[in-house]
Amino acid sequence: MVIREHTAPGFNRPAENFGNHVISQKTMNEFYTIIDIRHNVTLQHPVALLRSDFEFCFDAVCVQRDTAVVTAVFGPAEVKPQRILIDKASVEALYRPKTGLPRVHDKMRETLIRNTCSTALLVTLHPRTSISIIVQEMQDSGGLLACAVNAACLALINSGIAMKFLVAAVSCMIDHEDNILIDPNSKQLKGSKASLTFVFDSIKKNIMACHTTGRFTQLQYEESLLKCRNGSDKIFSFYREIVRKVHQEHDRMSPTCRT
Amino acid sequence: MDRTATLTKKETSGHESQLGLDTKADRLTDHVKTGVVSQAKGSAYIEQSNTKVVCSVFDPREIPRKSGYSVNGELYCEFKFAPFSCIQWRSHQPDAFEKECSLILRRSLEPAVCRHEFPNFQVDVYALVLENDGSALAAAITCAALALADASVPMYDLVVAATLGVHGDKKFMDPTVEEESLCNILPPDGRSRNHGIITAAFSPAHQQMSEFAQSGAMDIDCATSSIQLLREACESIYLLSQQCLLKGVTKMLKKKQKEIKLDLSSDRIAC
Amino acid sequence: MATCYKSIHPVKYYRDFLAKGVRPDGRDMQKFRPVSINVDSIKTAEGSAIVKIGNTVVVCGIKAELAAPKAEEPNFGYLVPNVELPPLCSPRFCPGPPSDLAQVSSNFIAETLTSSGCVDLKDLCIAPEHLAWVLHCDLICLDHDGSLWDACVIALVAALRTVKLPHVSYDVEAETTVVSPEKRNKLQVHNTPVATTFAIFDDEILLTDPTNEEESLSSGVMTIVVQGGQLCSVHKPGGSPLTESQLQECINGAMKRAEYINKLVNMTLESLGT
Repeated sequence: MVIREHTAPGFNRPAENFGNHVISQKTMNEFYTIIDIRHNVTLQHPVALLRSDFEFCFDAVCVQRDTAVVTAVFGPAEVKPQRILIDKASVEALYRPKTGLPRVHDKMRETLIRNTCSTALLVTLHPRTSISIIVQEMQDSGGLLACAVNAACLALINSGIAMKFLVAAVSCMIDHEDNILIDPNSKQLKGSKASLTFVFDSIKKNIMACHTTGRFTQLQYEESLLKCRNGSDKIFSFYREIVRKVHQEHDRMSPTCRT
Repeated sequence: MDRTATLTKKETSGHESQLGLDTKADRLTDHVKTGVVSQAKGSAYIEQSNTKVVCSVFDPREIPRKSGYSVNGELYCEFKFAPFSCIQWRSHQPDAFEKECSLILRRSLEPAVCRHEFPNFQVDVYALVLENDGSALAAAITCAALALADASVPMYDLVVAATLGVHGDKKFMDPTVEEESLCNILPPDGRSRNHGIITAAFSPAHQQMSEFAQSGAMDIDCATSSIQLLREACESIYLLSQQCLLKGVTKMLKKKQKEIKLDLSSDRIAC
Repeated sequence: MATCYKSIHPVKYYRDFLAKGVRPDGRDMQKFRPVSINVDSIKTAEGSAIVKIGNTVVVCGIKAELAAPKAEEPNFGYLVPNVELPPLCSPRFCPGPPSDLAQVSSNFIAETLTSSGCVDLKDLCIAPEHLAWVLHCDLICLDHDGSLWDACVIALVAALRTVKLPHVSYDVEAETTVVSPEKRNKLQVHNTPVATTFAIFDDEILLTDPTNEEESLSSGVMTIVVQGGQLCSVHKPGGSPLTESQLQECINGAMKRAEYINKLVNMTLESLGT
């Protein structure tokens, strides 16, 4: 497996530091972190692999349980004249499903990702540019929207574009017995009465975005909101771990790449 | 969807007994109103018996995909039936008939608009038929002309249009949907073979015709005699359009007066 | 004078008004615009409704067709909602394929219909595996001045409640369909979902029922759909973060409005029946 040099997020690398590295399977596994919380409220952690190819392209593969998504971020790059904004960067999100052409449901996901990311990014720092976030679905096994948002956030961290805060998405469902299950898989979702996805910011843990299907009472909504908010803490700590590991890898590899 | 059924189709053969030429006064009153769409520069709504058309006009904008300079401005017209406006459900994609109607709409409005006033720009006119009970195109032309006037686009005259259906030796003024479908088929043997629908747009102040669209087949005498009938029908619609425009202008002036009063008072508060 | 100030610095213009606790159109932050509903005005459609919220106008027309049900769902008919934002409703839409907002709106309406369960698709089935109704619900916006989804949902539900489907009998052996347009049955609509839109201005101020201008100046928009005391959908596609108390406020506002709209719809339909 040949993978190019990893960058520590937050640094804009000059092109000369590129190098080819072979990373063994063992080091790959060190990137995988699976943290189990209480067994009745398990939040299977996203597994992320960060990779950067070109100067302006950064991507992340996010695997949450069996749901997998690849995200790439391009930018800040040149913008088309019709999309130009004079005071801020124009953020664009593209969502591609695994099979077939994008449909109206995917447009909704694009809108959610775009609005969430444009609020999280410091867009006023890069006027008259464009930042594109491309999300490719690899496998859907429940909680796809949450996985996509988390992957987009990771890719943005990796890209080094300044952000006001990070975002974490958590999905949950309410089944017919009114139990609330965090991060359900597609089998569990089949027997659900309602499914909810929340996106939180990292500073005040307020609700950045929310999308629900099905019917539920106000009380159930508030309960799921609380549970998901607690779950989001785990995702934020996971982000910190991933960044720490990538830094470690980078420091470890830097002497060889100079050659 | 492989099988479809039309639900409210009435038999048209029974219409043989109806004598044509009902005058405008016999039919249900028409309603016309301007300024119905707040987001548009100018707009109008017309109801002719059951046919309902809304039209909106926007400010001149640059002509997309154009290089070079043109001395006259352009009119971009779009005519569309709502999916639920006809007896059969219509798709959202404009079909050939709608595209033809868009062209007819443009040809009828162009002579009346002072195109030299907005060189190298394009004025957008969008007409939407909410319910089609016959002569939708004529209603759309009248409505579009009113919307253009409401949008303060400089014009030489208001355009009004009317439809005439011919079937054998019968003529139907402002035909309904059933009468239109009757006029599109050949009369049975024994009568004259004239059949068809004529839509004509007039500019009454200049006594000129801006568009004459005829479908079907008819004698030249039949076609030329229809012009007189259509002209008379247009005169009455013209009066209605003028009154409507006058009402709209009066309302706008009153509003402007009120705004000026309020503006003056707010200035005093500010300073 | 005021118009010059408004076009140069629209955000500050708004802030000055909101500092005094009122919006430029005279409402206070929690006030809704007047709603008017007109049903069954389009005779070519099986069911129709026109809803006006302030300046926003949405027309809903429902056309029924017959088709074979899907192989994997032989007992279900089809309910096909579609939101069209034609260029005539606002200068920001261009002619051509449906814009992003139109697609997202269609998706939202479709999800709201399934979540609320207001129409049971089994009611649309005539002969399992052979024949079922297809209801094309077309929502056309004639004037876009904010709160589009609110108007769409009200129009759709009001139109559905006026739909009268003709009686259809299907002979399985002979494979013949007999449609009797004179005998009509009303479509069973089980409940009435109501949507309410809120805008977040400057990350702090919540505006109910925003106009188009307010939506474009605000930093986030949220729509809540309420049905029978329960929440059907809470849709917030990004934008400024909201605290729990603000969310609570929105939900309470949405619940109150749902009662009012339900009364209005019932009143309109009763007047139609008489």
